[in-house]
Amino acid sequence: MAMSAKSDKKPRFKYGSQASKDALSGYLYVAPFFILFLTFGIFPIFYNLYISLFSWKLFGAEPEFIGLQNYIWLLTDDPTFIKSVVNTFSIWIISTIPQLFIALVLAYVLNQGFVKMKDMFRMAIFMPFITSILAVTIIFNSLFSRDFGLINFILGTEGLDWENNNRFLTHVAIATMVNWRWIGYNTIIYMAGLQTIGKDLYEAATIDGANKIQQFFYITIPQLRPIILFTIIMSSIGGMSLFIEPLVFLDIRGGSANQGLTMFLYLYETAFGTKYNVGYSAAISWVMFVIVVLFALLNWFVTTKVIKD
Amino acid sequence: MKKFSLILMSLMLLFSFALAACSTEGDTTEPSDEPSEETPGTEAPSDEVVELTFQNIPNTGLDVLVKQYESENPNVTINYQEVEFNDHHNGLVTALAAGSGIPDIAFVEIGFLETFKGDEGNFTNLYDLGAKDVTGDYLDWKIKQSENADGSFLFGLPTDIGPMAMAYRTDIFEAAGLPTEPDEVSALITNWDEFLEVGKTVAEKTGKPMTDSGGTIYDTMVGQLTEVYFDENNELLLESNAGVKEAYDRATAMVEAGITAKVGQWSPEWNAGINDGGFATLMAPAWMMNYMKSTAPDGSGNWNIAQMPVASGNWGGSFLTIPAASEHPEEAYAFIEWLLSVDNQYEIFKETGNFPSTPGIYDKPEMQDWTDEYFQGAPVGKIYAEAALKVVPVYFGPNHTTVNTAVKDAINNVENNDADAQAEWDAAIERVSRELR
Repeated sequence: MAMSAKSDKKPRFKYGSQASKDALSGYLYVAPFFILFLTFGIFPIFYNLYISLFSWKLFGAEPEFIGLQNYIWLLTDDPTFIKSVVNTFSIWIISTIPQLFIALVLAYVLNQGFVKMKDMFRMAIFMPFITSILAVTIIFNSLFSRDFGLINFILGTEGLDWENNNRFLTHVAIATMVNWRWIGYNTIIYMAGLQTIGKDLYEAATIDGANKIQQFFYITIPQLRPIILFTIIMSSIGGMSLFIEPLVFLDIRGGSANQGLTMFLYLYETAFGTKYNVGYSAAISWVMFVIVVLFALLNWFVTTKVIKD
Repeated sequence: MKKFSLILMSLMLLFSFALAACSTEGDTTEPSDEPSEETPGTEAPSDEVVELTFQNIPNTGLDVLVKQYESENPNVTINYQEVEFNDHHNGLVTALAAGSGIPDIAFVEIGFLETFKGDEGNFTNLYDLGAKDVTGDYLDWKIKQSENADGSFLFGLPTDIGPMAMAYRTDIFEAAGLPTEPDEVSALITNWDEFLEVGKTVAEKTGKPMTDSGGTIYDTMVGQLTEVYFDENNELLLESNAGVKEAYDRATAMVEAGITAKVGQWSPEWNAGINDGGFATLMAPAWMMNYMKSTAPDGSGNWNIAQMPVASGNWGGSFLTIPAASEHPEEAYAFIEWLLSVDNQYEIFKETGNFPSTPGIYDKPEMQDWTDEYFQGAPVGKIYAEAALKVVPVYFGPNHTTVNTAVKDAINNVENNDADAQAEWDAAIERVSRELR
C-alpha cells in the first residue's frame, strides 16, 4: 500500500504545471554555484589533464603532444620529484604526530573541571590559527636565523644554519611552524568532541578505580575516534599540500639542495619558477592528487583499525 | 509574486555570467583585428584621444615625466600603474601566457627579458617602429641584451643599467696591512687569482672573510665572459664552455679556502655584514649604492670603491617593452622613445641616481663630479661610467636563469653542506639536462 501511495505522489513534468515550475526554480537556485563550480572547479581539473599530455612551455616553442612522456619522466627519471615526496612525508610525520597528540592532551586538560578561566585558555590556544601563515613564517624565519636567531641563542647552537646545514633540521624548523599554527585548531576540534562524551562513563570509571590517565586512554580516545579520524584526514590533506612555509622559509626551490622542497612547491616552481613548464607541472599535480587520495585512504584504514582494537 | 522576482533575479545572475564571458572574448579578439587597420589609423591620433596603459615598478623616476608627456601631447592619456618588482613580473608572465590584461607598455628587467625572448610573438619589434634611429644613443652591449639572437628583433628600449665595481672595507684592508686607496686596491687585485690571495691574507690577519658568498663571485666572473651557457642557436654550452667551468672552480676554491662569509644576498646576515663589516668586499653594481645606504647606514665612511678584477660586468638593469597585444603600438613607441631619450635619462639620473644607459651623459659635469660620502668621497660617477663602457656584450638565451640557478645551487651546497665540488658540478649538469627537456 505504502509503495503505491508513493508512486502516485511522484511529480509529473508537464509544461506550465506547478511541479515543473518548482523544479525549474530549484535548478535556478543552485545554478550560480554550479556554473562557478564547473568553470573554476571541474573544467580546470580536466583541462589540466589535457595539458599534462603536452610538452607545454609558457614561452618559446608551441605545445607539442607527447602522450604520457611527462608521467614517465616524472615517475622514472626525476630524483627531484622523489626528493619532494620524501620531504613532504618527512615534514608531515614530524608535524602531524606531535601536533595531534599535543592537541588531544591540551583538549583533555582544558576539559577538566579544575581548570579556571577556560574561555581565556581556549581563545589563547586558538589565536595562532587566525594569524596569517605568511606572517607566522616570516617571524619564524627570523627566530631560526643563523646568526641572530632566538632559537640558536636559547639552544646554545650558535652558527647552526637551520636552512642549509642539515635536511632533517630544515624539516624540523618547517614542522615547528606548522605545529604552532595548527595545534590550537585541533585542540578546539577535540574539545568539541570531548563535550559529547557522557559524564557517566567517567563517573563509572572513577567508581571502578581508574585514574585520569587510564580514563584518557580507555574512554577518551576510543570515544573520540570519529573526531580523531577527521583531524587525521584533514592534516593529511593539509600536510600533503604544504606550500607557503617552505616557500618563505627557504625559496621557490625549497633551498639550494631542495632540502625543503615539497610536492606542491615543486609543482609551483616547475610552472612559475624559471622553467615555465606547465605541461610537466600539470603531470605533477595529477600524480600528487593520486598520492594524496591513496594516503588519505591509508590513514582512514589504519586509524579505524588501530583505534577499534 | 515573490517567487517570480526570485526567478528573475537568478536569471539576471545567469545573464551576467554570460555577458562577462562574452565581453572578455571581445577583448581578446579585438587586438588581432587591429593591425590590418593600422595604415588608415595613422591619421586618427590627431583628433582622437589614445589611452596607453603603462605598467612600471616603483622608484624608477619615470612617473614625473609621464605627466609632462601628457601635458605636451593632449591626444595621449597614460594610465600609469606601479606594482612591486616581483608582483609586476609574475603578473606580466601570467598576462602574456593568458593573452589578457596586458599593458601597452611594460617594464621588464633583464632576467625576465631573457625568458620572454623565447616568444617573439608576445612583443612588438621596435625596429619595425623606427628604433634603428635611436639605438646609437645607447650602449652597444645594452642594445644587444634587448635584441634576439640574429639582431633583427628589438624587444625594448633600455632604461637604467647596473655596471659593476668592487666596494671594499678600508677598515678591514687596513687591519690586514693592505693598501686602502682605490688606485692601489685596483692595482693590487687585477684578476681573480690575486683576489683569492688577498682574501687569504685578509682572513689570516683579521679573521674576516673576503666576500659574501661563492655564488656572488661566480655570477660576477660569469658576467665577464663573452659566451655563457648558450650559443646563439640556443645550444647548451655548459659542459663545453671552459670559461664557465673555470669560474665554477675558482668560486668553489674560494669557498674551500674559507674566504666567503656564507651569507646569501638580501638575507638579514648579509645586511648586517654590510653594516658592521662582516666581509671585506662586495661586488656592487651602481644601484647597490642606494641599497647599501638605506639598509646599512652604519657602514658609511668605511666603504670605498675600486674597479673590479679583470673587467667590469653588469648586474640588472631594465627595458621598456611594447607587448604585441597593444592596440596603439605607434603611440606607445613615440612615448617610450621620448621617455628614454638622452635628455630625459639625464633628468632621471639627476633626480634619482639611476645609472643611465646613454653614454652621451657620462661626460656631463654631474656625472664626472659625482662623489659619495658613504664611500669616503670616492668619485663614483667616474668609476661607474668607466665600468659601464668596459662591459662586453654577451648572449644569454631564454633558459639562462634555469641553468644559472642549478650551477649556483651546486656552489651553495659546497659552501653550506661541505659537498664535493666536482660531484656537485656533475649533479648540476645532470639536473640541467632534465630541466631543459
